Amino acid sequence: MINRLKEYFYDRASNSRRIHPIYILPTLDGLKVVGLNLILLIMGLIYANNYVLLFNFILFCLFLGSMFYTHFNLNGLTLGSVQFPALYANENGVLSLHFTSTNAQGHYFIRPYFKSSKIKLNEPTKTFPISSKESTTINVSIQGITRGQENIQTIYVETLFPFNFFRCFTFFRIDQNCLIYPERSDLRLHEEVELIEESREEGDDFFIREYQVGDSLKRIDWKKLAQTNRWYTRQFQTAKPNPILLVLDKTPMEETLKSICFSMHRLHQQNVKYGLKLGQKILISPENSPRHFNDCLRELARYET
Amino acid sequence: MKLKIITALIITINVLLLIQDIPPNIMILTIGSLGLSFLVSAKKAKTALKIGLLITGIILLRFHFKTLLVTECGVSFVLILAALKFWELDEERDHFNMFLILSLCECCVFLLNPTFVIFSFGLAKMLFYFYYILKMRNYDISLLNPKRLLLLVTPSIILSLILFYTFPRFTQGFINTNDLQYIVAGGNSKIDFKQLGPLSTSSETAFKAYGLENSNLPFKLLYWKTAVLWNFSNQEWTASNNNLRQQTPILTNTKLKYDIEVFQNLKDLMPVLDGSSSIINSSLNFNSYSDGSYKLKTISRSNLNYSVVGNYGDRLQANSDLMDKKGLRLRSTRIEEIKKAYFEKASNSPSDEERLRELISIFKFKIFEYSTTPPMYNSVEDFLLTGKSGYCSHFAAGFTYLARAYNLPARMVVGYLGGQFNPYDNSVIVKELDAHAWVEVFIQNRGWVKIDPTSLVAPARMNMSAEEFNNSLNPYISILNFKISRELFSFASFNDFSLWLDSLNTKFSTNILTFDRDKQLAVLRALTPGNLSVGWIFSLSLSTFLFIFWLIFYLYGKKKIDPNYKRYLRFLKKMQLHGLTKAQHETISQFHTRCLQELPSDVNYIDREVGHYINSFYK
Repeated sequence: MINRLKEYFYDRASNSRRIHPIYILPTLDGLKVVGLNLILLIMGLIYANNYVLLFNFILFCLFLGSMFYTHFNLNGLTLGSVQFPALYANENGVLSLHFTSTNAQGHYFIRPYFKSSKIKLNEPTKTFPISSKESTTINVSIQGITRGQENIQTIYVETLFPFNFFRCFTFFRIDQNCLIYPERSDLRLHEEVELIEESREEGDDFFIREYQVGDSLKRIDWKKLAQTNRWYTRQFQTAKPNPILLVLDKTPMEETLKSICFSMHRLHQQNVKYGLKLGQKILISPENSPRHFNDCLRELARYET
Repeated sequence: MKLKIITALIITINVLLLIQDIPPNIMILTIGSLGLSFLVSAKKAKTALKIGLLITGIILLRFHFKTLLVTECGVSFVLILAALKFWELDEERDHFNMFLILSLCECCVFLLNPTFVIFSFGLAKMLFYFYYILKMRNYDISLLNPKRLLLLVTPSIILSLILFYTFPRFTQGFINTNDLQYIVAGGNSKIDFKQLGPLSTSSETAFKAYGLENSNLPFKLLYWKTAVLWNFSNQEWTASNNNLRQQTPILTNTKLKYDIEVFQNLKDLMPVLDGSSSIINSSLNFNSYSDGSYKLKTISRSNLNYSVVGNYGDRLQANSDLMDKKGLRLRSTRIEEIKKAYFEKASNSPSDEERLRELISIFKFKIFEYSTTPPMYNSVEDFLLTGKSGYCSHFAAGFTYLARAYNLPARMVVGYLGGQFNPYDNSVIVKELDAHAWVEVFIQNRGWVKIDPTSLVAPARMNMSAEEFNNSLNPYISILNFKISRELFSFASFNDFSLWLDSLNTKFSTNILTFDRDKQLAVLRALTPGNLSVGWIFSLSLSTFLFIFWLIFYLYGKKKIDPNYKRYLRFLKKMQLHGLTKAQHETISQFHTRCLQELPSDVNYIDREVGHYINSFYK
């Protein structure tokens, strides 16, 4: 019931476009303390025992004090900027949050959190200290769940310090688009088409070796054949691999995308030109540059049939 | 392991504090199970042990106290839970829940034993447990450094005291815990013979008397009268002194003047020194009777304070036909049986004194034994015919019965015997343990003569305080079959310390425990202008302190701004008043130029301020 309410409130608040103030609500532990306080008050009044009343008031005042302290602990905190990492499904990344503070005492046990169906926090309960300096960066470990594009609108920041009696929280609007690329796995499900470039095999930079069955007829050294009556093949020294087109044209789509992603990384590392053909709509011509790499990854993340 | 040792220490101190109220069997069980649990590692076995201990504890308490009382249960739970609290609790949440339960149990102990020591120990224990829970969390406890902790705790304690003193007390309590207590010769003006179980050995202070320090009275032999029991019906001795009201007590040769403060909220008890006495000033209305006893008109829920004048040992000689009639009334079907057993050889002497002497010799030489844990008797007759061991109430009831059967007007008196002088606050402390019962017999020409049958059975009791006598009967404290001599604990310095603690406890009692509605009204009315109601004062104090709390944190969290930057902000503000606002993209030099153009009259000021800013931050 409480969790449902929390979910409802969270969804309502995090999707709203307003600038959020600091909210403070008692936790379940806090409510238990309130219950105990009530019981003790009734007990103290019924039995007319002042020690019970005094004990009750001390507990109550610690409760009140902790309310101020918890609020004080979050007050003055501002989220300056957010830096999402390049994230692959089922792989970890580090989300950097840059905070500034106007509180001279700093902030303790701050827990950042956001809700997403495509990204999850590896340690959702982990808390961080934020110093009172100009700016503090905290690194939160996150993991991609599924491939896709996600719009993170708000970051939720809470603290329960010091006694867990109160949950003090606020939302920071970030409105960031985040891409989760497919997982990289060597499944070899996709089709790789080698694009042969004619011009590549021209020039004098070659040596001659004996013909082997299967060598291309284009590479046979006809002059040598005429001179020696033996079959020789030209082997180019600086043979560059042909560009490869990675093609997605069959199901299962997600698995194939994973396979393409893996191959793309491999080709990128080997400095081989590669292109992308996803279904009938997307065709990226072969290239090999960081920008091309990112473009391809973006298409992989966003691709939908 | 360290934690287990601390737990064991806490439980031991708990047990020592409650030693008077917890029967030894419960204590042995608790400590035994604690020891056993160190050896048992299986979770199921521990749970079985826990349940077994709980059930056995409650059954034993039921047998021990006869009636299942709330407070006794509270104590048993505290002890048992204290023994169990650190077991099987893996998560911090479990510990927090246990903290809440234990807080509740601690409060049960405060109800049973409302003393300053119990309160401060309970508070310290709970704070330690809370600190332990904080430590258990992932929190680095060093973050709550002394400065921060002080910032949180000090206003909390001050606020709690303010709230405590201003919180409106709607009632003076609906249930009095002492109504639930089993007190042997308590102020109920009644003794139910059937209910006389083991003697209460509680060393709680029943009342304190001031003003006796220079009286040279033997404090160990002071008889404090609380009620005179006349009526014997079935197995009960009751006061029934309604017809003995004395309108104007006349005292001659008044020697003593003393003040009494009754701590325990006994229902209608007003102890006065045995002898002629008159209450001259009391916080509550009362009736005085010609038998020398006093009874409150209303049931007191708060402490009772009054001043008395009187003579110690001076007998109240007044007698009437009514007293004679009341003093001889005995409705019993077994009188003949008793007479046969006790007076078969006795001469039917006409003289009262001779008959009294015979009765005394019966008690002196008949084989009676003093015991704090006598067997249960169904009636006074049973005690006289078949029993031999008992304590003051048994002997006094038996003596009165025999005297009436022997045609001597007699009445039973309940009260206290003894006291201890406390030099720290010049008071005489009389404890519950000092509760006593004795007899007054009417002798022609001598009036009502005080006879203490207990002194006939156990003369040593007269020379010792009740505590000393009780200790002499049980010279060893037995813990788990180990007998430890009480002498090991009886240091003079320890006694001194306990007296000092007692005076402290009195102070706490006066200022905290007995702070009731009337006192609150008196104090608050005196402190506040007009007749502001308590509710308003409470709300005001609460809101004031909430504001102060906020203010403390606000000031504490305020960042110190660099004075140069502060000066710069002041400059910007001043420029803003002239309609000049520095844009975000604008550099200070650009803004400087713009200001000079717009405000040529303030050139010096602008130059100076901008120059200062550039010097401070860019050079």
